[in-house]
Amino acid sequence: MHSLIKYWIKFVILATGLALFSHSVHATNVIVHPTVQLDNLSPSNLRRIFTMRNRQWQKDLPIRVFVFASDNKIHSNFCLQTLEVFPYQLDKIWGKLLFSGLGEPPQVVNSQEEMIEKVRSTPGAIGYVDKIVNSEGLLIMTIGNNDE
Amino acid sequence: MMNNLIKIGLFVTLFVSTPIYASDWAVHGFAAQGVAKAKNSNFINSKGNTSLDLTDIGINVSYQYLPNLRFAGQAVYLNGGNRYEEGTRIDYMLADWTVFSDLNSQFNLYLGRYKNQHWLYSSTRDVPHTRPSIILPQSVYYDAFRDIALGSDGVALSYTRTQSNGELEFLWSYGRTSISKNASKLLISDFSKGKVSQDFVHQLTLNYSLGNGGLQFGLSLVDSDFKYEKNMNEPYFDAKAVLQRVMFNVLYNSHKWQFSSELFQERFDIDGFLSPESTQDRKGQGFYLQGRYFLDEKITLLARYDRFDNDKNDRKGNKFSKSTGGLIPPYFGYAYDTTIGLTYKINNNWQLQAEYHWIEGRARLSPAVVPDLVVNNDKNWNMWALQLMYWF
Repeated sequence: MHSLIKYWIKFVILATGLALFSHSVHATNVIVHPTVQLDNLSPSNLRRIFTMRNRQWQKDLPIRVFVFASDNKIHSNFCLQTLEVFPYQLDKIWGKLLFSGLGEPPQVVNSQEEMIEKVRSTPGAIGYVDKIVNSEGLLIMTIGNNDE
Repeated sequence: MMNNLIKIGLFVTLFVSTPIYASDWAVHGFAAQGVAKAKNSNFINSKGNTSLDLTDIGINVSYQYLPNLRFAGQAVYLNGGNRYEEGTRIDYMLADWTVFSDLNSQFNLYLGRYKNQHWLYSSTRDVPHTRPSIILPQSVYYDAFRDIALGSDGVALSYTRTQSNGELEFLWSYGRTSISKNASKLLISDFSKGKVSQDFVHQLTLNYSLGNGGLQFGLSLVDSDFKYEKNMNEPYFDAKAVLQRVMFNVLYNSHKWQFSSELFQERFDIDGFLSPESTQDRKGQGFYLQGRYFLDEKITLLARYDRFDNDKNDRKGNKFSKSTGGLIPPYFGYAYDTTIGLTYKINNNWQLQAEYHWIEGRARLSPAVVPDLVVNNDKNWNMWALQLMYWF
């Protein structure tokens, strides 16, 4: 009886997880401008960057964040899988920063081509794309598995 | 007249604008107009009629001067009827210096007119699309106290740091707010002719968010001194007051739900005013519990219970009423507000919000000290509000 309950609990957790993330097949790629001298970031580092709590890669190199609009599918996949936050949380944090004087929200781009173009041409830029056809002039960031 | 001109000017500017990113400059704004009615109450207007006094307009500019130094300012026009003073004002105007920043921590110093960042919704309570409801829970976000609780001129700092299992945020600020004559009237009485001024407000907050920020909790402290300078032609006297608040907050985010709560005790100690020797020292308490349900990408539902007791040793206001010789009814000693609301996000720049409040008790109305007894003649009252909002 006890093991049956355990089995069902496991099943429900797994099914919920699948239902939540079933629309996502693969993870998005985090891309940065070559001036960024790092090749790995943890999810918590990324969260700090995309919630605009971390403004500089190093002295004199500001972080320039590019995103898609909050109703974009690539954006919601990136939020849920890579940042592990809900898109509405980011909207709320950005709105609060912007309208209380503490910071600027990320710049919104409209297409993957524009995203790649902006990241390629902006020192200190960071963004994300679904797929990369030509990675010339970009660095692809690996994301650490844990927050350490 | 002047206000109307500024209002029209702001409106025109807003609707011909889109976000401007001229490399280091950025311009953003918002505009919202609503309609509201608080029946049998002077919360919005003195007759309790349907009112269009629900306008919030703002425009802000920021300039990144150096990688670690930026300047930002925002001007707003607000009209909330009787809730707070109508007019244009500088909402914030500050220099923001990033003292240090690395991948795991950042330390910022702010100088100038800063916003109150210490409570869950304090920093953007006038920015319609960022707030959960049009009228915020009055226990914590008392509108008559808005100008004082919104921000101050002084110095503030923030420090955030990633820990192994979450993130720590420390906020501190010290400053003062100038209080206009009209705002003094809202606080005290339509008949008061003197002036309220704030000596200082000192605030400190510690927030901790676990893991990915799904669960966050915090502790916040306020300490502030005020004085009242009487006018020669009024029956009141000079006074000194101390206001101190201890507050806890919890915020939980999930895929479909968001829960938030703030719980506080507030000490209000006033010497003088009614007579040179009169003294009053009471502790009020309040909290709200709020749940939001994200039905889909466009619709959010809200349910909230908000409670405020003016004196924790006199929760039904009986002693308070007796102390006024029965002139002020006991129901001015508390307020319980049950709210339901709906937010409809039309697109990334437009949103419509609607809500209904069932309220028992008349605390948290203005004027706070000498209330309007004519309209507020029953302990129960209702209110609804609808607002269309735009931002860029």
